[in-house]
Amino acid sequence: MKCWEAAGVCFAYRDQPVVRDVDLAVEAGEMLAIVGPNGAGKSTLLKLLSGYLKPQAGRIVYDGKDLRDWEPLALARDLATAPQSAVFYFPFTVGQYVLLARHPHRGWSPFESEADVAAANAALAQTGVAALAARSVLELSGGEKQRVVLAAALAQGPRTLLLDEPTASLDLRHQVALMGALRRQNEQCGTTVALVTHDLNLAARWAPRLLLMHEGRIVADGRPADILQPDSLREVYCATVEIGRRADGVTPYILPLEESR
Amino acid sequence: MTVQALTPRVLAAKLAPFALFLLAALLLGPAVGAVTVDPLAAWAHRHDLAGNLDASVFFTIRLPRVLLAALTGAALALAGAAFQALLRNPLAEPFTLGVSSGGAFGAALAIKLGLGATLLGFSPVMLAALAGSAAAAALVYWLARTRGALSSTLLTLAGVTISFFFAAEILLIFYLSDYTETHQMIRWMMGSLDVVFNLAMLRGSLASRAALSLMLLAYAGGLAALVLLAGKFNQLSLGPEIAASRGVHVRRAQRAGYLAASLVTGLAVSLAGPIGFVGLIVPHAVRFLVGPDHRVLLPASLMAGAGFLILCDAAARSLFGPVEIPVGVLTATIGGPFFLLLLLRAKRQGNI
Repeated sequence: MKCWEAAGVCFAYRDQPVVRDVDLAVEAGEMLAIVGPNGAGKSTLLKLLSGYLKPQAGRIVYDGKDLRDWEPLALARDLATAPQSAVFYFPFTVGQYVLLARHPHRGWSPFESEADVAAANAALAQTGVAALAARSVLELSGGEKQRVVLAAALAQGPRTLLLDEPTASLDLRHQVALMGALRRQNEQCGTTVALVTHDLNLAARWAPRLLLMHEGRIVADGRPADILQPDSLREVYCATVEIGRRADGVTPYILPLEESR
Repeated sequence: MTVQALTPRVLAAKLAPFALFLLAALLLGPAVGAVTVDPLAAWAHRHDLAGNLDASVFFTIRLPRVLLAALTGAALALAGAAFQALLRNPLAEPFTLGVSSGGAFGAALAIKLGLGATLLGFSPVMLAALAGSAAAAALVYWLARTRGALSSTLLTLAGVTISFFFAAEILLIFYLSDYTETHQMIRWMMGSLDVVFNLAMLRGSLASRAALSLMLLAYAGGLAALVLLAGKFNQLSLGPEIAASRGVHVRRAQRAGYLAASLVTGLAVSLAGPIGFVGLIVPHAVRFLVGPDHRVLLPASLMAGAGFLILCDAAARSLFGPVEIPVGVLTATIGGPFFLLLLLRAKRQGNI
C-alpha cells in the first residue's frame, strides 16, 4: 500500500525554484528522515507532501488519491503536521491547545467528545508533557513547546505524521525520548512518519530510510549506512566529515571536521 | 483527567455570569436617565403612550436607545475579538482596518455637503458613514488579498495606512467647514447613541419598515456568523499553516470572518459613530476571565459588550443630567481604569 507517490514535483517561490522534479514513493508504515543542507528544499517538500503547498508541476498522490482531490477535513483526520516553529499568540492552556487538534473529528458539534479527551490525554502522556496540561502555552520553554506541538499532532489521531525539525531545540535526553516515541508510534501503530532534520546522527539512528536533498532534488535515497558516505556528504554539505560505526557495525555516526583546503 | 473538554455544561457555566450581567443591564438601562422612569408603571400603560409620561419615555426614548446600545456594544466587542483572532494580534480592534475612519470620512462629507434627503427613514449622514466604512473595508481587503491566505501583516499595514489617509481628508473637510459644521462633525466622531434612525419608521411605510428589518437582519446575520465561526477562529488564531493542517479552508474562513466582522463594525459605526475602546477592552477583559477559547470568548464578548455599553450609556445620560456626556468619552473613562486593574491581576497571575 502506497502512502505517497510523487512524480515530477516542482515548486518555486516567485522565480526561485526550491523543489525540482522530485519523484518519490513511500510505503504506508515507513519512517523516513529528509536531510540536506540549508535551503535544499526539505521543508518545502514536507509542505508539498502535507498538501499545504500545491505543486506547480507534477502531482502527488496520497493514499491512492491526488492530494488536490482530498476533502480538507478528511485529509486532516488522516495526516497531521507538526510545523517547525509554532508561534503562540493567545494564552491557551497546554491541555486546550492539544484538544484543539481534534478539530477535524468534531464535525458540526462545537463540543469535544470523550474520545477527543482520551486522545489528547494519551498524546500528552506519550510526549511526556502531561504535567504541563494546565500551563499557558505562552510560558513554555523552547523544548516544552516542541513537545506540546508534537502532542497536538499525535492527538489529531493521524495515520501519517509529518514533522519539521522536531528535535531542533531539545536537549540530548529529550531528543532521544522524542525520536524513540516516534519510532514506537511507527512500529506499534503503523503510523507513517516523515521528518525533516539537520541531525544526521539522530536520523541515522532512528530512521530506516533517508532522503538526502540538495538544491531542490533528492540526490540519494536509501538506508542511512549507504547514504551517509564521506564523498556524498562533502559534495552536498561542502564539509569534511569522519564517519564511524556504532557497536552494531552498521549504524554510522558522523563527526564534522574542520574544512580541509 | 488532565485536560478539560468544552462540554455543553462547561459552556453554560462559563456563559451564565455574562448572561446575568446583560440581563441586569437590560433591566437597569431603561430606568435611569435625566428623568427616572418606573418600568412597572410604564409597562402598565404600554397601550397608552400618549397619556402616560413613564410609558412614553420608556417605550419611545429609552427602550430603543438601550437596544441600540446593546446592538452596538455586542457588535464592537464581537468584531474586536474576531479581528484579534484573524490578525493574530491582541492589539487589533474593530477599527484597526480603517472601518471607523472610512465611516467618519463619509459622515463628515455628508455634513459638509449638507445632504438633506433621507432614504427610507435613514439619515444621509448614516448612509454616507455606512458607505465610507464599506469603502474602507473593501479597499483594505483588496490591498491585502493574495493568492493564498490573507496576510495579517499586509491587512494591518493597509488598514493603518487607510486610516491615516481618511484622517487627513477629514482634517481637510474640517478646514473647509464653518463652526457649526465642524461642531456637528466632532460631535458625530465622539460617538453617540441618540437613535439616529427615525422611529416613525416603525409605524411608517412598508418600505421603511422593510429597510429597518433588513438592517437588523444584516446585524443579526453578521453577529451569528461570527459566533458560529468560533471553532475556526480557534484554528486561525494558531496561524494559517496549523489551521490548514487541521482541515480548515483558511482563505474561505478568513474571508467569512473578515466580511462578517467588517459588516457589523460598519453598521455600528454608521448608527452610533466610532465608539472607541469597547472593541479592544471587552474581548481582553473577557479573555482574562474565561480564557482564549473562541467558543466561549465570542458569545461571552457579545453579552459583555452589550451590557457594558448599556451601562456606559446609562451613566452618560444620568451622571451630569440633564447634560449628556458623549458615550464614547465615557467608555474610555470607565473602561480604561477597569482594564488596567485586569491587566495588573493578569500580570500577578503570570497570565499575560
